Amino acid sequence: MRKISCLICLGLLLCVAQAQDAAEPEVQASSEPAADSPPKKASVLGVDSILVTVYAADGKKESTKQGKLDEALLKATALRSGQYVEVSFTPLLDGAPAKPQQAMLAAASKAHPGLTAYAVAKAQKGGSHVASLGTAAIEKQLGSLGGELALSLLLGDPAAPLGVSGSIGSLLLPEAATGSAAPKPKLLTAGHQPVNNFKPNIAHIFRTPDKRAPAVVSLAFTGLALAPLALLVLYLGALGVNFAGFPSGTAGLWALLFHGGIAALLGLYALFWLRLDLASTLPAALGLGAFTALTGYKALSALSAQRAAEAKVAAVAVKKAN
Amino acid sequence: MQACSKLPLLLVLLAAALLCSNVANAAENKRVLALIGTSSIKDSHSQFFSSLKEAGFSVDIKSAKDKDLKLKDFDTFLYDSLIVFAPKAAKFGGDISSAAILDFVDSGKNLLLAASSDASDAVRSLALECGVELDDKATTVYDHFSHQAANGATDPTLIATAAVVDSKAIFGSSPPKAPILFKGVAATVPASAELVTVALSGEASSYSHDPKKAMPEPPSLPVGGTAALVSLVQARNNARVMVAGSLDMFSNELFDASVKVAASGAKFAKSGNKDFATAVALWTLGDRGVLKVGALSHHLVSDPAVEPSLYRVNDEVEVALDVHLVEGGKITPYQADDLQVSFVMLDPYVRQPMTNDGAGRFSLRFTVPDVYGVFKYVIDYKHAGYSYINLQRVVPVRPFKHDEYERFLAAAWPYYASVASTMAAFFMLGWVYLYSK
Repeated sequence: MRKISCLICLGLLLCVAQAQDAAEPEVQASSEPAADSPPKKASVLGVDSILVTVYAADGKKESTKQGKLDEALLKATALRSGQYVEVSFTPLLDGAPAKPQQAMLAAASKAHPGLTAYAVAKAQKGGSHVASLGTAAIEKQLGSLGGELALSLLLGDPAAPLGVSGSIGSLLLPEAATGSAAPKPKLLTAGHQPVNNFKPNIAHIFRTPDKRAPAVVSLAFTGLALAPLALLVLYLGALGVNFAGFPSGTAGLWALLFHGGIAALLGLYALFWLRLDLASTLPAALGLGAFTALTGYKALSALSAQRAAEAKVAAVAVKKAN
Repeated sequence: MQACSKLPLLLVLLAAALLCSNVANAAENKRVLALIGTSSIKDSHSQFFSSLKEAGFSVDIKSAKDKDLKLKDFDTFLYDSLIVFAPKAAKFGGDISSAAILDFVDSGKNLLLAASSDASDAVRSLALECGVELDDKATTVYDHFSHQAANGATDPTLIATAAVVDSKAIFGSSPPKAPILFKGVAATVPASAELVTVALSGEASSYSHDPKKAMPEPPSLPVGGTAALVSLVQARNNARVMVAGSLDMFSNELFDASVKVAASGAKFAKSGNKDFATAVALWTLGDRGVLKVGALSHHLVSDPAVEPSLYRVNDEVEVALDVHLVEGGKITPYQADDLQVSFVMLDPYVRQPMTNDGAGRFSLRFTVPDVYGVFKYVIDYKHAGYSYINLQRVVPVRPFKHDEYERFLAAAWPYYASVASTMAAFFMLGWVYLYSK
């Protein structure tokens, strides 16, 4: 008896414990209170027919199409600046008009996956919802983005375990004025954000050197510059120039030294042009100049004396002949 | 015999000493203070803390309200990183305040901050000061398509997202393969935020909303990829901050949970939470993506041994920099092709990418512009996930000296010829005038 009563008590306790477990809500995560209470039964979201209207920048209707979700109501419809698309629909929850928590238009760029512009649908009287998305709203979210955008409708509500999405078609935006530059969305996403701060390369453009005449021109003028020297040599040759008056003996030695000094000065001038500086040239010039002056004085004195003696001898010879 | 018997003991003592020194070295820059809001977090998030300890970090877990809390003792910081897992904390105990935490970050230390939908103003303002603006109070991230559906779950606030940043610096060669489960608050990061990287975004169908209020229009509404769930901030002093909108994503429960994505039905044996949380935490704590930079060197190409104090215009020069990557304590050469150097005087005259030799040496050869003045080398390198490199070196540039210009031009030959002919004629005429008869 005692054992049976213990077993009965144990069974009752287990039943109470199971009942308590069933009464407690299922905890999925730790300390966060659920924003919405979980749905008691699985509801199904849906949408009836969709009306798509394209408006011009001045508000005039340009085209209207009606159909079901996932019908291509817009086939790469071009959207110029200021134009917008308005989508009207009635969301259904278990077949009855409802106001789902999420009712949005999404325009996803085909050229840049991950870049999507959104528009929130506003509930109207009678249960319908209207969402409009235009070039201005797209530019506000995605920057100057061009190309084809796939338009779809997103519906979701905590009452339904799964949302409903479907394609409405596609829009075509004009390409950005910047050409194929990367799009710059206003907010960063994990898939679209700057990787680095790489800037355009800059290479310095050096000043182009002044144009010079061809070397042939320089050679021609060099020939012209040397022509007078050539003419002088030819003229002296024609005149019958000789060095018969070169003195002999000591006078000749002074003459050689004198002309050597002149040649050395001319050579020093050339060296200064080629490699020397003034500090090393001036002392040498001073020395060579003094040497040339001294030897020149001696040479010219000896030459003068020699010519005077020759003139005297010639005068005496003329006097004797007369 | 006595010496032989003592040898094992000596060896053991030596090994112990070496181990202690290694531990001491490993503990440098690896002291972490973790502030938790409730004591249960220590157990519910034990796997996360264990993963940090396995990576060599010493984690000191304390209550956010502990009266003895302090980050520094006089001017010495007691910790290198701070984890704040107390999203509802209105204030912190001891010497820790929002100002002290910001001062901590300004000093180059790191911060991991976990928020939630009901995060306190203190936590929100901390996140905002770090450049991440959390969505309004009571908002939660929803996703009616990409949410957890394993075991019949239908909660649209427990979302499953695979929108992870593609970054080798953060995840190395093994990014998370499974979706990450997230339940919390979203943030928005404007495009002008240069220092913020969005590590985890919502999927295209996700959005942030407070059911009691009207839904705003985008871009005010964090929707799709613009709902930043985990943001990583690297300050200009290379201090790192992670702001996560969910504390639960670091919990054991979500680490171990299997995943079934509601709309697609894709199944995963385990969520990507552990891989993701560990990777971003290690990045934030400075275990990954840290660049070590040597001194900037420059020289003439013709004379590599000398670093000149100034250049001349049109000189051929080479500038070089050593950059190494530190990951998990290992130092490897950094590989990149986007490291630019600029040669600047007010505006950049030269800006080119540096060539990488594969051993961590980046160099560039270029010709000094034909403009004289005071230039400077500038390296301002930002690559998401890696430390910033900010270097400058002033180098004056002088013009040509009078004897450095080009000589013996072809155009000058006529002038050379006229001078030479004058000299020759003078010499010749001297002989002719004096000695010709």
